Amino acid sequence: MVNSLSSPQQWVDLYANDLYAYALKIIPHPDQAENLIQETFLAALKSKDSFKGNSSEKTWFIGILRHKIADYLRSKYREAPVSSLAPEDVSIDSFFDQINETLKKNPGSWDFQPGQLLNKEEFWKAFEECLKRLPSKTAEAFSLSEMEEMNSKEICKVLNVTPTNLWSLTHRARVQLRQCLQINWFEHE
Amino acid sequence: MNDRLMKMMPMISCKKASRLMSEGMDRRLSIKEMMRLKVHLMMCGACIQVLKQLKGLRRLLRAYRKHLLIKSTSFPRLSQSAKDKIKQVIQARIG
Repeated sequence: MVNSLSSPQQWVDLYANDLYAYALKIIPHPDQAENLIQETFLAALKSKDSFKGNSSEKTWFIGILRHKIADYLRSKYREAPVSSLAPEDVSIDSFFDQINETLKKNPGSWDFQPGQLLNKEEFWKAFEECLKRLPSKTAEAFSLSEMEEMNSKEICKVLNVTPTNLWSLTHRARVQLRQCLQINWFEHE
Repeated sequence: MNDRLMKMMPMISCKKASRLMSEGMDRRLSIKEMMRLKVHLMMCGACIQVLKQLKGLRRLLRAYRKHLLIKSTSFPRLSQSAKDKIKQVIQARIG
């Protein structure tokens, strides 16, 4: 039994919220995320004959969205000179010195099962806020690695960075997000 | 014995340890790097905690991605005006 696609007039009501939630975990800026959702639907319209029906409709849309996100990032960084990392790196030492101090105090304990947080709106709101505070490339490196499970080699190509650059970005992102979530979520739990 | 170990593996800072933890999530660490990190973690409860948190966050995000494939989310919602705009664009394409 092959599923066929629902009619394009229904797509927005059926899937726009979920696609938007997905996009915001990688690109935490509403305007850009909205554009990506629109492009996803338009691309779906173009290739709707290729929908095979062996995956769910939503899986198919999310697959298109993931391609759109990678394309968007690739073109955003294609022209960027490799040295564009330098300004961010200047502050990194003082940033980590502060972190060093907090770690010595107490990083806090996070007792959570992923299942408990998946449906918690407030948690994801805090997460998106924290992600937004990172420089955009830092946030993108984090989400491509942690959520998208993209390997380092692919991420380097998409963000136009060397592996060493990438590992600085993910290091900074993980430590800073951890800190932000500790303060804005786990301390109050 | 412990002194000899300390000479071979000088204690690294929490900053350096956090870098190794993070890189260990992105690539395979060398034996030497792994030893340095392990020695640090033996002495530093705070960093053990942080490593658990970083891995927990990764597990959570991967679970969230899979969750979105099967369940519908109530948050965040795309605004009605944004939805209407996209609907119009789609309508214009299908004519």
